[in-house]
Parts: sequence; structure tokens; C-alpha cells
Amino acid sequence: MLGILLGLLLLSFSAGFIGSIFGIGGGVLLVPALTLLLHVPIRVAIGVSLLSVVATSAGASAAFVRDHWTNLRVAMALEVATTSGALVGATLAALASARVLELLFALAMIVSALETYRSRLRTEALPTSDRLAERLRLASSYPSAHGPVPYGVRRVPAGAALMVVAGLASGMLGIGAGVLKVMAMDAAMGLPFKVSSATSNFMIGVTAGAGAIVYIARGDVATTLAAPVALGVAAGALAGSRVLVRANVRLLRIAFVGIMLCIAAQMAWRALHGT
Amino acid sequence: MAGAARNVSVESREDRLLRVWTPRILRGVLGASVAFLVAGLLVIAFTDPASYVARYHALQSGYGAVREVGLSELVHGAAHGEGTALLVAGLLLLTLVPIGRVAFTFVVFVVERDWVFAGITGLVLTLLGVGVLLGRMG
Repeated sequence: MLGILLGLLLLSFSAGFIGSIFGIGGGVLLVPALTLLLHVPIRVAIGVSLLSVVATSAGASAAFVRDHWTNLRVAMALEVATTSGALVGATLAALASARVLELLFALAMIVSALETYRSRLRTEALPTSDRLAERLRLASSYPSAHGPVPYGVRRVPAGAALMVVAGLASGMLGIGAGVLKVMAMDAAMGLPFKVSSATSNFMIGVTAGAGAIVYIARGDVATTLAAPVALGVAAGALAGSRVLVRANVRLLRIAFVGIMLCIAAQMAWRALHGT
Repeated sequence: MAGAARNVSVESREDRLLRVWTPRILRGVLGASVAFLVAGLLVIAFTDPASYVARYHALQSGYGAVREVGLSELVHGAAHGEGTALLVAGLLLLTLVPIGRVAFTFVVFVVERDWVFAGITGLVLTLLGVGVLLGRMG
């Protein structure tokens, strides 16, 4: 038992650590690791991954909330969309075949890899909000060396529509779908990148939690795997968030994107050929 | 003018409550969950490691994911320090992390009479409840 336990802890710690360094969360690496390396059925891997995403989000988002990086009102307004999407996604996952899930997962990995490569860092803040955002009092400020920097929020409906897709991907594939969430807030709603990232991290817990509830109620969460994996991923993510990467980040990022694309290809091959 | 000033003070009190208590709730429930999970794994490692190994290999063969544990069985098992019950309790606590956080914000919004956001968080809580029903049906 000790060997299995140590193996699971090491694997999940690595997924959480690497995911945290590149800002993509652990789920997108964990599911292929469990299916390709440990031969766990993908539906079981997804249920396990969702719980580990909840643990990671809870650990990582607390500090961002305290330090005023997270826009709590934006998060709560959009959680209706992500939660709805996650419930639909988790329900669809029970109906879809393992091959379809593997193929969709490969697609999600390619999107994540390309977004990691682009690594947008839009930091300028919108000066004002549009009418709906003003009515919901979504404008806020983020901390800086020169004091709080105010920012506005726009296009909430467009952001919410993308959040439904993010929730769907999360519930169906067991990932945090942080890439889509950040895209919705950063590109569609005009929030500063770091605010989008912190708010996404905060929302991921509820989105994954909604999916996890469906899997648990259905009896699709394996305690044998979920317990050590949740512990490992959360610890890895915490360690990753405290490590400052001093190496050549650009080269490291390119290598990482290449590895992700290789794993995506392997998942797609497995889906199409069953091996 | 007075209305605007009142809004500012209500917003800052609401914001302060959320920013102080939300991280505490997240870390507190997560800590409790981690304690249950570690305790469960230790109990299994010392009392019944063979069943853990058997279940792990059954999973790899593609068999059913888990043995369903009912609430009464869970409480009884956890109270008696049974490994699997402790693990299930830890995982259920983990799902309570986001639910507890949303429930807390719902209460804050109701107390602060922020009815729009009380409605939004109330809807999220309802959706989380719907998730249990969907899982039961699935």
C-alpha cells in the first residue's frame, strides 16, 4: 500500500506543482497522468480531479481575497453561469463514452497549451464601467505600490456566456477551466489580468465543487484515489505558488507547451484507436 | 447625498466582512478536510492495507468506482475511526469548502440587505442542491 500511496502522492504533487508554476491548475495534467500512466478509467479520473481542483482553489485563493486582488462581486455574479455549466457538463459526462471524453480532453489541453504560450499580460485598467456593471456595483480597485488602482467592468453578459462554457468544460472534463475564465474576464469584460487570474482562481472552487457534487452523488468518486490525490495536488500547488521561477521562463514555457501538445496527441490517439 | 454615503459605508462593511471571513472559512474547512483525509489514510495503512490495494487494482481494471456510504453509516464509521468512513467524511468536507463559502456570502448579503446579490448567491446555493439531485438521478 505504501508504494501505491507514495506513487499517487508524488504524481499528484508534480501535477499541482507544475500546473501552479504555469498558472493552469493541476486538473489538466492530472487527468492524463491518471489515465495514461496509471490506467484509471477517464470518468473516475475526472471525478478525482474535480475534488483536487476544489482543494487547490481553496488553498490558493484565500491570500488573493485577503489582499484585495479578487473581485468578489464579479466572482459571485458569474458563478451562476459557471455552476449551471458545470452541472450540465457533469451530467453529460455520465452519458458520453470514454472515447468522446478523451477526445474533448485532448482538445482542452491544446487550448490550454496555446493560451499558456500566448501568456497575455494585459494590466491596464478600464476607467469606467458600463450601465449593468455599474448597477451591480462591480467596479473595484487592486493594490499597487502607489495605492489602490480603480478599474471598471464591462460586457457582463458576454463574460457570463463564456463562463457557461468554462463551467461545462470543468464539469465534463474535471478541470478548473481557469484559462477560459481568465479569457472571459480579461478579454471580454476588461478586467486587469491579475485581477482576472485571482478572481478565476476563487471561482474555480465553486465550479469544480458543483461538478464534484454530481459525481459524488452518482457514486463516481473513488475514495482510494481521491484522498491521496487531493492532498498531493493541493500541496504541490501550494509549493508551486511559492517558488519563483528564475530559470529562462520563455524556454521553460515553450518546453512545457510542447509536452502538453504531446500529451494531447497521445490522448487523442488513445481515443481514436483505443490503445 | 446621504443615500450615497450610506451605500459607501454599507459596501465597505460588506467588503470587509467578506475579505476577513472568506479566507478563514476556506482555510478552516480545508484544514478539517485534510485532517480527516490524512487520518483515514493512516488508519487504513495500519489496519487494512490489503483492502486498499485490492480496491486500487479493481479501479484500474475499470470496475465500479466506490462503495456508496450512507450518512448514518458514515457518521458511525467516522466516530469509530474507520478508515474508509474517515476518507469519505474528508471528501465530503472538501465539497463543503465552496458550499460553505457561498452560504456565508449569502448570509452577509441578506444581513446587509444587498438583495440583488443575496438573490444571486441564493441561486448558486440552489444550483448546488440541484447537483445532488442530478447525481442521484444519473
